[in-house]
Amino acid sequence: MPVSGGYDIDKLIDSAPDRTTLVDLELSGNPRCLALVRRLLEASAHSMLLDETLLNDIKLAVTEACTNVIKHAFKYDPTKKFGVTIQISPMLYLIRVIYEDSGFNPDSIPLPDLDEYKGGGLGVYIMRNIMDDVVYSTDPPTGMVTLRMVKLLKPLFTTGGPM
Amino acid sequence: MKIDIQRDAAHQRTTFVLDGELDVHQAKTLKSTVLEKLEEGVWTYVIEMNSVGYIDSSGLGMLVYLKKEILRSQGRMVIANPTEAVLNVFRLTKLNEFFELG
Repeated sequence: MPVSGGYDIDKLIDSAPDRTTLVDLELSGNPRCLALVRRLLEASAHSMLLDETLLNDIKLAVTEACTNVIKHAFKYDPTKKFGVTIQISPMLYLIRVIYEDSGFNPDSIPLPDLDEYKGGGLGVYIMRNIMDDVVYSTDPPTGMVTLRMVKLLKPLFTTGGPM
Repeated sequence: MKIDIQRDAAHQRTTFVLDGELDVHQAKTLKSTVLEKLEEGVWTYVIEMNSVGYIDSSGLGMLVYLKKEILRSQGRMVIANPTEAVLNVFRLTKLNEFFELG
């Protein structure tokens, strides 16, 4: 059960008043698509009046996730496709990155040694540090991987504690 | 990403003025541009980042690589005027301690 700041993220997602997927993108393995994705995220953030810090975190996390797909799963093959969906509710910004990578094992992601950094391996570390929830799930029969990332948009505590 | 190059032979200093976003796509451009300009001797290479509003782990990895290459050629690399967005990523990854910031 993913928990962030005392919250059950699954429950928050299920209880969001508007669970409509606002954005459903199909992207290619060409890294040029990354700048376009950032422009789209900026537009969505501006329409939601999100502040600059939140927007920067979301842009960074989504770019890291997409870069990992393009670089490691697709090896820059521009003919391969992957999906990015975005749901926005008053409480959370939910992104899913969906792609095929039959060899992927989320438990094998190394932790970078920041004191002896040699380059590489920072993407997942950054995502986990700036988002409130980052969960990989795999479907071995199809080789499909879904990365779910959540950014909480509002302080959810009231005087009585978590809502 | 646009890269403007200013070479100051008198002071053995080359400045790369970056304008744009430093992601996996643009990191390769930065790599080839800087490596092409490395010179014999004790030169300083300034990466001017006042107009870089975005960097990710691929951009960071490239800066780490370039610093090591420059050190190997007896040079020195300085990152000048990073924006707050870039500084935040440096701090998050502790690379603000690795780079010489100016």
